Amino acid sequence: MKSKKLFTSVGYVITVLLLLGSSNGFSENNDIGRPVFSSLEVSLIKTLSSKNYSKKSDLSNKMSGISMAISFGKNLFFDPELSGDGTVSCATCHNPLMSWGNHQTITSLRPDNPSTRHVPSLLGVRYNRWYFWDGRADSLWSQAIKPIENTSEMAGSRVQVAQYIINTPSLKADYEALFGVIPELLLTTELPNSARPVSGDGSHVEHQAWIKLSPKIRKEINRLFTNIGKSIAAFEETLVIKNTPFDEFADNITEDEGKSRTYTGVLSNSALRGLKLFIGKAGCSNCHFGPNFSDGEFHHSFIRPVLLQGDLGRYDGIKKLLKDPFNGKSEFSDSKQPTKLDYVYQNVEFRGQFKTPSLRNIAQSYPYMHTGEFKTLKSTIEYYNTISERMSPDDHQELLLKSLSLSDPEVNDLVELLKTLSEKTIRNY
Amino acid sequence: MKAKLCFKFTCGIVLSLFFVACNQTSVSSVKQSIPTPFKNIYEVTSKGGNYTIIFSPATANMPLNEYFDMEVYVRGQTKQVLDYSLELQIDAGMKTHNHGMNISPNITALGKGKFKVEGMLFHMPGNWFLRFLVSRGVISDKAEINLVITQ
Repeated sequence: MKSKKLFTSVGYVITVLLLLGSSNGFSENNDIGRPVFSSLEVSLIKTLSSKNYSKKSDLSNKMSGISMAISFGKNLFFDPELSGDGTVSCATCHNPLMSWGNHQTITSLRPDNPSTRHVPSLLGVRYNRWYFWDGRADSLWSQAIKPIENTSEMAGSRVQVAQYIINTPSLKADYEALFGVIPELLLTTELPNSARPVSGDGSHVEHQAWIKLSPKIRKEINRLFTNIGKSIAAFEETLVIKNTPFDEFADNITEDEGKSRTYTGVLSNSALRGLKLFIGKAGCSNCHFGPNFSDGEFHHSFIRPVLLQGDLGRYDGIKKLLKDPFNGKSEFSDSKQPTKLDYVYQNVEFRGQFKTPSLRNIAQSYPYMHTGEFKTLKSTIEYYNTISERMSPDDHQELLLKSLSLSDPEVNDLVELLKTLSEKTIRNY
Repeated sequence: MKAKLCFKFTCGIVLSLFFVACNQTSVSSVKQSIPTPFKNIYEVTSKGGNYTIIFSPATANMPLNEYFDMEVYVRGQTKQVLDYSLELQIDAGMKTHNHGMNISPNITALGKGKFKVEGMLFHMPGNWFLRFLVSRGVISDKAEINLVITQ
């Protein structure tokens, strides 16, 4: 009697687990749980494949794709000596074991001068149009050097970096093999230990040290500094996610298979339903499209009302970009072609906008949003479920961003889809 | 005098309705005898009926989220070349999203109503309007066309 009761209980538990194991109660092996994809949907899915990634190199960086520069840049990326106190490297925040981010909401390397935004993952960074959450840099190399002088981050200076390269024989040899001999002027001048232009604080000791240098020396220092950025960028360009279960599915599905639900089973039924939502009802692909799952542009997702938050995002980013001495129109760019900078303009619509992040490897790139305030994919999607409540009258009225009102199983299906955007094994870069 | 004014007014209304109807047609790939090397040619009539705007992207299609250039020809009502100078402004946006382009294209007048437009960018898929504002001094006329940008 007792054993029969136990058997019945176990059977009940198994039945419940089977039902819970699949969203909407559909069995994973049951065709009922597999969505139909129309011809148009199949063609949309294929546009998301990594096969569509651009093969173009960065024309503004002559080190783009050069193997020796990649190797040199990799060493620099992991080198804490580029920071002011020798303790912080690029990898401190962009940790390879943490999806090239740091899994923290807001990084506090310098408690007296904390950052204000979440560290983004570097995976797929080469495919960005703009850099930083606010797009204040227009190339990966000009982005790469800014954290070195950011007092919330590496808190170093360009002159200190120059000193380090000049005085470290192995680095100097590598540098000169790539960029030619370091000008005699830099080798013979007694440079200060640290110097940099400090915007808005002309009395700063490092600024004073900087302006005491001759224009010619300052130009050579800037040249060396941007070359360091170009080397780091050459390495960062190799950080890509291409061979995911999603890509395998997108590359193989045919129109006929989509219509007849006979596509092969790389993705779970739940992920497939999530894909249907992603390109359809949920509207995710309005912004997260193309092989990098991002339009590379900027949107206001109402995380903070702009007037209260004080972080104007893209609006301020454009001001900084246009003033950046290392932007694409500067003498340090290796391209003399017209650049996207020619078309940038300022608009109040841009207040509070932040860049659309890539979704590749997103399951490992938590937390989410530019403030890093959502710890899980589920809570992020649930935010979009009720986003209309977050829009304030002072925000630009983005009519596209309305509450999704997805059901719990639908949210779970989207999460399952997003998990398929990671490679099965951790790649050794 | 009164009758003459009334006639003019009536003609104006008829013409306006005619041009509104023209503007409501979707993208028409009309091949015209304009000296452009580009394949896709679009045409739209201004709301006031003063101009025919003929434009052609340098790319095969109106691309999604890629910069592209266009040639624009501002012609008269019957597509005749105009013998006076004009200014052209271009705007675009998504009414269902309530945003415009994230960029401001460069527009260069090349003479005889021809303009080079550089740096157009439709950064999201969906329905866009493309608006041309043609000015001759302080007198302006605008034309608007709907475009569907697909992935």
